[in-house]
Amino acid sequence: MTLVPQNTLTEWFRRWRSPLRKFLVGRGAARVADLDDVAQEVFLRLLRYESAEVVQHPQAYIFKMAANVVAEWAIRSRHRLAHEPRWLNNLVAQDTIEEAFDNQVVQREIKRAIGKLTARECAILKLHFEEGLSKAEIALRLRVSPRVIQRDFETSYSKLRRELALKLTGALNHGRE
Amino acid sequence: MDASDRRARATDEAAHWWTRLGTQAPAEVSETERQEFTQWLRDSPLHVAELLHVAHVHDALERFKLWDELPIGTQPEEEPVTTLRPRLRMVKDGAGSEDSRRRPRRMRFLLAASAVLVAIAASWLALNSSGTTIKTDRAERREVVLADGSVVGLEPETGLHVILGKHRRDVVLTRGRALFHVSKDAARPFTVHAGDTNVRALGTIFGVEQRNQNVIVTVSEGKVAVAPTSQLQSDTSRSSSSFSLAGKQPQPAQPVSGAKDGEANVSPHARPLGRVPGTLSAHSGPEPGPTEEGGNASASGQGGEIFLAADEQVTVKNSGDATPVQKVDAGRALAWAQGRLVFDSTPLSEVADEFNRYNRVQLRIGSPELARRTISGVFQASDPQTLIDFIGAGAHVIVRRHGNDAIVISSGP
Repeated sequence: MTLVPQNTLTEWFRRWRSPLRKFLVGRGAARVADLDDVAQEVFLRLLRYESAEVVQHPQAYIFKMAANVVAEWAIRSRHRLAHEPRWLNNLVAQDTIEEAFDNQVVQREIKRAIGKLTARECAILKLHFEEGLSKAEIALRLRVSPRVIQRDFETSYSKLRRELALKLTGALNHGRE
Repeated sequence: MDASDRRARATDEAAHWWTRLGTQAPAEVSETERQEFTQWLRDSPLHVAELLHVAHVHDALERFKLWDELPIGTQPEEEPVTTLRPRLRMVKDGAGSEDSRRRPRRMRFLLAASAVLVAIAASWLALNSSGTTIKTDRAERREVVLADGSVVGLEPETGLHVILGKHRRDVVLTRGRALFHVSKDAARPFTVHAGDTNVRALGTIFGVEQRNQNVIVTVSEGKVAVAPTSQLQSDTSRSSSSFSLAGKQPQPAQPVSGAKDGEANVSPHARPLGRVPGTLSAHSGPEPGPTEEGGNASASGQGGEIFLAADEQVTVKNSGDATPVQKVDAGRALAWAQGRLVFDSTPLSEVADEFNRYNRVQLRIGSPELARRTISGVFQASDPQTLIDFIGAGAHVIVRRHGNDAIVISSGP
């Protein structure tokens, strides 16, 4: 019996996140682009496809395209921009992607951002990401409705996106200090 | 709406899609959801960008290791605050009107995105036992999250007073209309008071509207009990939990003082739940229909209660009389909660009044014969131009703009 992959949005992201993460943490990236530039290109590519085609697996399309864009840009910039003198200053030993994400600066930054959430939002994220509880299990544990949990997740992600936006990216781009 | 507002809105929508699709297996993601998600992505590069940003947040949370250093417990206290949020879909999906289904999806998305005039103000209102008053002005819509997790969507020119107590939750609708998405809490009944009518619910979605001294109650999900104020007062004088029929207390009937054994709470005129035409002023007896748990409803609500299930509506008139319970398409009947206005042979004067509540630019009908003309259709509340085009398609009209605040429509030559 073969296991059927869940292919949820988060799992599609997990599958394609490696190049994205590489892009995000790539302090040595020659071209300083941000996620908005990637998104613009992904958006244009999405429009080139027939809607009916994308609708089959929009979750996969979005991340695969983003990964492709990042990978293509990385190749292009390597060839086009390899000899700019000021980039020599950036030629220092690079962390692996995981190390970059796990370094203390980044961990402290995420901690600071999570600290801005309400107690319940923090608790819900902790139960999910550390203890691995599902939303339904969290609802039971906290004695609130699943809709409340759903809403708290949404609010938390929105807040963290605003809180982490430039600061985390900045920390990632600068690596260890 | 400036660029930062648009981005903030896109962030909220991206977070919504992320959590909505993030844990759903393919079989659970419907074709409609995938179409809507695809269309949302194709609507703007900002949407794509924000989804990638939210994915990045998720990635960061997965990699985060310092959870133990955060001063949080797993049993957090309920925070006595409400926050105002942008409105997301609240009425159940798939209940849209025929007109909205005919509208191209892209247009629906654009309208939904642009039309909802929501206060995204990041204001926080402390709720206490004395209650909090929340009001919306003309052209203002708000969604308020109460401390108990219930969500109330206020339409323009609506007033609410909220009191969340230890044993009960009361909301007084002083005017206007609102959609209530009630979080379940069996120990604290949730009651909406509108005029002389009370609407009581547990874990459900319903709309209450005060219009021309009538109170219109429409249920989208779950069940509610509608009763006159006097009913509630007599009940609460005995026990706050005795006013329960649609709730979660399937207790056996308890005799009340002065009643004969065995007949205190069971009406000989009992009728099935949710099929109770009649008047609130009449002593129609309690309803022995099934509760959510499948047991008999508590019969302690003495007479005069009307029970509504999903897709049912009742109008309680100022006199206390209630229309028979009507089967409705809740998505259509509560279209206003999604910023849509539904008209069915409605005089243009009333249509203009309704639009004017939602917009700063005011429509005025310049000629009496045009004001009497009736129209039917579904319109986006914040898009009066569609209405003007609609009128213009069926009659010769002259449209004049008076500054930035008024549009006058008159009969043409």
